[in-house]
Amino acid sequence: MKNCDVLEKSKGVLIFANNTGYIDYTTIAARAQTLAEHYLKLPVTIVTGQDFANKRYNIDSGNFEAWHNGGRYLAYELSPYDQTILIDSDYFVFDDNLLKILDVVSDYQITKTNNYVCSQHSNQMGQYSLDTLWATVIVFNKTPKARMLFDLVGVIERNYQYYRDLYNIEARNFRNDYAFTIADNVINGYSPNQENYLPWPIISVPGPIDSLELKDSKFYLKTSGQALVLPKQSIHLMSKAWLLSESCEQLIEAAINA
Amino acid sequence: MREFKSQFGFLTIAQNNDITDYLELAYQQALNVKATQKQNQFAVLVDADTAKLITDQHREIFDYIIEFSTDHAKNEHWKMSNEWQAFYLTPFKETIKLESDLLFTRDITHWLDGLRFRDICFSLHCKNLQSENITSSPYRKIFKENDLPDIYTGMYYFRFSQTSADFFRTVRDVYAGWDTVKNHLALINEPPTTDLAFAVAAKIIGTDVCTIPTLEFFNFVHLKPQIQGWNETQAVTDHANVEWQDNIVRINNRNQYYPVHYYEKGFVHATRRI
Repeated sequence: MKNCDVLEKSKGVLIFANNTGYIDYTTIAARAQTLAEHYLKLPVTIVTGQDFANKRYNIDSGNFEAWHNGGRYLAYELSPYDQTILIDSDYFVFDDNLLKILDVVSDYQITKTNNYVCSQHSNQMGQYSLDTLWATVIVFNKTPKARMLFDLVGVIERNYQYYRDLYNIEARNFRNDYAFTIADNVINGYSPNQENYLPWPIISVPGPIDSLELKDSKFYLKTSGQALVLPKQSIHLMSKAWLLSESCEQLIEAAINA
Repeated sequence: MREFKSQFGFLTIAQNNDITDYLELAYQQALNVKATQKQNQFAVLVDADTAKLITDQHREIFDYIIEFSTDHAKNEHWKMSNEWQAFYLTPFKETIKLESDLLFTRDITHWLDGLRFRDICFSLHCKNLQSENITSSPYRKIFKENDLPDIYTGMYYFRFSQTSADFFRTVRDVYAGWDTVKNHLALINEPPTTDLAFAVAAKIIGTDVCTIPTLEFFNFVHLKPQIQGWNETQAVTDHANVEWQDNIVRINNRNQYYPVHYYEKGFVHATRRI
C-alpha cells in the first residue's frame, strides 16, 4: 500500500541539444527522447539555445566543425525534476537500467567507464592526467553536493585554459567530460569516490556506422572494418550522420514496436 | 639479554655517496615523521664518514644516531649490504624500517594492529599515483622470472623475535653468498638490490611467514616512472604537477594518502621549500 504521507520525487530525463550549421542536434535529441520515454517511462526535457563557441572533430566528415557543448553546468538549475537522468543526445536508451540508479543515487553518479565496441582508447585526459569520467550519462539529485558539482563545472568552463594546464589535458577544445572529471576530483577532496560512479560501463560506437539493425533482441552493427553482434542495451552512438539517417529512424521504430 | 631503548620507532639508514646526501634525506624524513606520526621516535644508522657530517641540527631531530661497527658496504657505490644490520642495531623492540626517500602524509600508528600479526612483515606490491596496486611492472621481471615474492623493502615492520632473527640472518647469508645464490636465479648478474636479496630470503624463510596479503593498506606509492605507465626517462619532477598542503602531497591533482616513496632524490627540494 502506498504511503500518501511521503511525497514522491519527480523524476525525468534531461537532454541538451544545440544545433550547429552542420548538425541538427535537436532532431537527434528528439530521437533519443522517443527511446527514453519508451524504455524509462519518464518525461523528457530538451534544453536548447546555448551558443558556446567550440569546435569538435567530426568522425563522419573528418573535419573540425562548430560545436555548442557549453552550458551543461546549467542542468542543475534547468532540470524541472528532483531526480534527473542527464544524457547526451547521442546516448540512446534501449533498457530501463537507469531507473535502478534513481533508487540508489545519493548526490550524483557519473559514468566512470566507457567501453568502445570496436577499438581501444586511452581513458586518460592526458598522459600525466586523471582518468576521464564521461558526462554522457549523469544521474543526480537536487542536493547541495550535486549543486556544488555543477557550479564547479561552470567555473571550469569559464576558466578552461587554466584548468587545462593544471590538469595536463592534451585536447585543446573544451569537453564536458573533462570539466566533470575535474569537478568530481575537487569536490571529493582530490580523491576518487566510488559512490559517485555508475556501477556499469557505457557502451560506445566511436566511429562511422555503415548499418545498425535490431533483430531478436540483438544489435547487428557494421562499420567500415568490422561486423559485430551486441546484446540489446543502451548505447552511445557517436556518428551524427547515422543518427540523422533514415536507418536510425527505422531502428527506433523497430525497437518501439518489438 | 638485548636491551632496547624504546618500544616502537622508525629506523632508516643514511650512508652518503658522491651523488646523494642520504643524511639530508633522513633528516627530511625525521622531520616528516615528527610532523605526521603520533608515535614518532626516529633512529638513523650511519657509517663513519656520514657520522662526521652530523650537526647539532640533526641531533635535535634524530632520537638515536647509531654508527655501524662494521660497514659491509664500504666499497659499494649504492650501499645496500648493510640492510640486514637493521635488526641488530635498531634501538626499538618494534621497528618500521624505512628507506630514507619515503615520506608519510598521515599517521599510520593504527597499522601496527595489523602488522603485529607477524613478527616481520613486508608490503606486497606497490601503488601508483592513482592508489592502484601494481602487481606487475618492468622493474620486476627478475622477480617474476624467478617466482620470487613481489615484496618491497621501502617500508617494512619487524620486532625482536626468533623469526626476525632467522630472516635477517638469512639476508646476511644471501649477501655474503651472492655469487652462489645468483647461479640459481635467472636473468641476474649484478649485485643484489635490497628488494631482491630480501625477496630471496623471504622465499627461503617462507613468504607466508613475512607477508600478509590481506593487509592491503600496508603499502606505499612508488614514484618510479614505469609504475605510472610512463617512459623511464619521464621523471616525476619534470612531468607531474606536485603540490604540498601541510603534510599532504598532491601529485597530478590526486591527494596521496599512502606513504610516498619518491625515489628521485631531489624530489623534496624540487617541489617544496622546507
